[in-house]
Amino acid sequence: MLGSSRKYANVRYLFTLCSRGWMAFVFLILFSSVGFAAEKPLTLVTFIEKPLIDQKNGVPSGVVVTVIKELFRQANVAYTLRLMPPKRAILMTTETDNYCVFPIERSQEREANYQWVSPVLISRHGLYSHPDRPIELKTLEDARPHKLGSYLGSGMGEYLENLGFNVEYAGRNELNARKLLKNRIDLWVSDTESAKFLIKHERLSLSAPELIFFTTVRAMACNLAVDSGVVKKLQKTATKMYRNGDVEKIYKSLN
Amino acid sequence: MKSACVRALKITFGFLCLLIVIPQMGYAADTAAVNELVAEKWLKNEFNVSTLSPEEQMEEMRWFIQAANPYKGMTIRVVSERIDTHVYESNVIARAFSEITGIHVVHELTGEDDVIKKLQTQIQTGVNLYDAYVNDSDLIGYHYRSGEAIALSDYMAGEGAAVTLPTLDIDDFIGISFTEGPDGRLYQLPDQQFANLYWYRHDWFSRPELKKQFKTLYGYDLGVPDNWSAYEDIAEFFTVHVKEIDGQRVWGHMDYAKTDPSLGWRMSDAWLSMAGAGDKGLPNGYPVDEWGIRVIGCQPVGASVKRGGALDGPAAVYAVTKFVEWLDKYAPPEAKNLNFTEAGEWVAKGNIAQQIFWYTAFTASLTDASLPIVNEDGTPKWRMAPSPHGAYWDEGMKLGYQDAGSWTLLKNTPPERRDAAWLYAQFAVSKSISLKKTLVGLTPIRESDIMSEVMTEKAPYLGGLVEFYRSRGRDVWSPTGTNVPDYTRLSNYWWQFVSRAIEGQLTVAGAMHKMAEAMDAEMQLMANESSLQCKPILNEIEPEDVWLKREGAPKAMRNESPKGKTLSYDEAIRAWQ
Repeated sequence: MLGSSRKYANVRYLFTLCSRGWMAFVFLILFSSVGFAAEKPLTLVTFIEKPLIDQKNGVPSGVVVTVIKELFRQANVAYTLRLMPPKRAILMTTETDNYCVFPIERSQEREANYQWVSPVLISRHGLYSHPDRPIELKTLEDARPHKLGSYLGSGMGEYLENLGFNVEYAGRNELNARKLLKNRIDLWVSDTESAKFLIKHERLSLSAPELIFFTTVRAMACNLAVDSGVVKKLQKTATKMYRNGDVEKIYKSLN
Repeated sequence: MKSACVRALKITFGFLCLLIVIPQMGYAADTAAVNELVAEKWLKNEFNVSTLSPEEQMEEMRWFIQAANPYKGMTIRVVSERIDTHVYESNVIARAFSEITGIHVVHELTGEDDVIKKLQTQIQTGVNLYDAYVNDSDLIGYHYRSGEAIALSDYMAGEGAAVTLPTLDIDDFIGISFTEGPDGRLYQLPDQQFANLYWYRHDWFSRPELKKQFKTLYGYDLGVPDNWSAYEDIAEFFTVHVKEIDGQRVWGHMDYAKTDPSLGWRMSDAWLSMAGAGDKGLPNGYPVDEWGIRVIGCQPVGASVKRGGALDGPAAVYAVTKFVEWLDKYAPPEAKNLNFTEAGEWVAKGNIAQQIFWYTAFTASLTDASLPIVNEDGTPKWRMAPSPHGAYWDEGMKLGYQDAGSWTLLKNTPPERRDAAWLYAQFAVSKSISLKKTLVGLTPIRESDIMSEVMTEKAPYLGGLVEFYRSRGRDVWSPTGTNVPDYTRLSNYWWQFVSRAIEGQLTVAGAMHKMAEAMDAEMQLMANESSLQCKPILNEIEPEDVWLKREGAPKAMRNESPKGKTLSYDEAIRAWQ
């Protein structure tokens, strides 16, 4: 009896261990993403925009990703994170419950289509010319006769197109730098941080922008069906992170 | 010996200094002379109409050149909404200022909602996005409460005295009362103004056969509607009975209703004031304004009827019901999917008979001689006139909206950048520039410009704009006032809730009740969290019928279908005198 009792105790111990392991396994599965809140994890989608957003072995990285991770950690909201091309990321978020995309330009035209957490990034946008064909720009209007290069999904490209500028779209931002050097566009429209990085790392023979013409507030846009309480919590946390210097600290690490 | 050495050193040092300073002085003088030549060129070629003499204009330019000296070489950034006046500033005035002063200006244009969001972002994050904003005076209630914007009256007399144009002439600004807080301080400087007026096809309204047909059907003359009943009759007349003019389908009403922030402006830009939802008082009703927000002293106490507000009262429900009904019955089917900018282009097509609430910011775009709504001699086939009033409106109340986009400086802008931006702001509204800007954008800000001979000559081509701005009407059409404690936080509710009524998700009454509750809740949050001065303290809840029996707003149900009344054009604009 004793023997069997010990055996039983061992089995029970093993079972306990197993069940603890199982529970741990279940726990890991359920909360494999960062954040421990009870809500269903949000699916965050983003896109490569070096150096702000990059990837290591398929995993998103970069300062904007760091800001977002810190935001979700402080707000205690669970999430998963994926990379997609920008246009697809925006479409996916528009159409899919529980999706959020970052960092996209928040604009009046887009305002009603999403719930917003902003800003996650403030960008300045410049116009870059070919080194052999400088184009002097005093105001944005001076760029009107020229062919401008932007990328699909860029709010900046849409803004210029709406103003009647001649905009040609590439799949990704960096492709425009090459198009510029091959004289396929006259001016490359880019966020200045991305342009600075690409010029340096791809050793492009481009200099400073002819004109820094626009400032955008870039945000995380969430599908309208996402729990508005969660969005409010994230917004409150984001504002707090700006005010207490957390965001500035992360962005300073870029320089 | 030592003193001789020191003296020799001093002389040498002084000589060296002179060697450095004298050429610099020469350089500075040369640069100033070059800048003056540039200014002369701009005055001759571009800013060649002004209420100032050319000598006085040049004197202002010299002042700008001298005052800008410490800031030469800087690039400053400002932002405004995208209307003709600001396009002119961004493309022409900014360039002129840069060439004349050496301060480079990037004047960005974006949606009005974006301007507000960017201003809010700079306040919230402390990041210096822009050095100055052209921000609608609708935010005056927030600016004076929050302490985030510089009180310009203090700045001009103190820290900013050296960079304040001696000939700025604040009293010449017709909208200055819109940008003053209840504390009497000036928080913003008007840069452009436009009103929401009634717009109609004067040529169609003058056709004998249409006049006869209208009188037969409705029993009174076809003319400028004095009340909403007449507006509704005229809308029905053209859409349902006339249908076609000169072979073209025509519509008796035009509006827009796309779910978008600009839908909210339709309402917050005083739709409810035309209906008569608020109290008497100018520039805004007191104690209940046209947003339906009641104040006690300077403290907001509620938007819902149960707290003494009028946002979900009978007048507000009537106002939005008519908005939805007219859109469904009398507007082109496309109207529901248009926003502010898209709808602005519609009346130029020549198929709209009238619009109850038309932004005069679009005047310039309706004066092109190639348009079907302009006569061969360049005079318009259309007119603007006072907006008709709804069943709850009483004499002494505001009757519509006026936008006063105004220069706003934030305290968290670095002082040097703020000063340079203030120079540009004043340049854009200076008497040297403002008349030309008014002729281009038709959004007048100065009494001197509007009363000028140039504007008298222009008046026949502007369909009533000059007459409006020369009358007391410009005080009766007013912006959002100081009852609204935080425009940015509250304004989203308008489009978010009204769109639900338009899309049929909620009844109008249901949408207005929910909106009033949401606004009350937001104001309660402000009361709990913010450090606003004069922040909200909500009234206790009382039964709605108790409030509706009291005098003033919220008003009890009235006869919402009084007999239609119209006026001749001359009678209508006399109401402005």
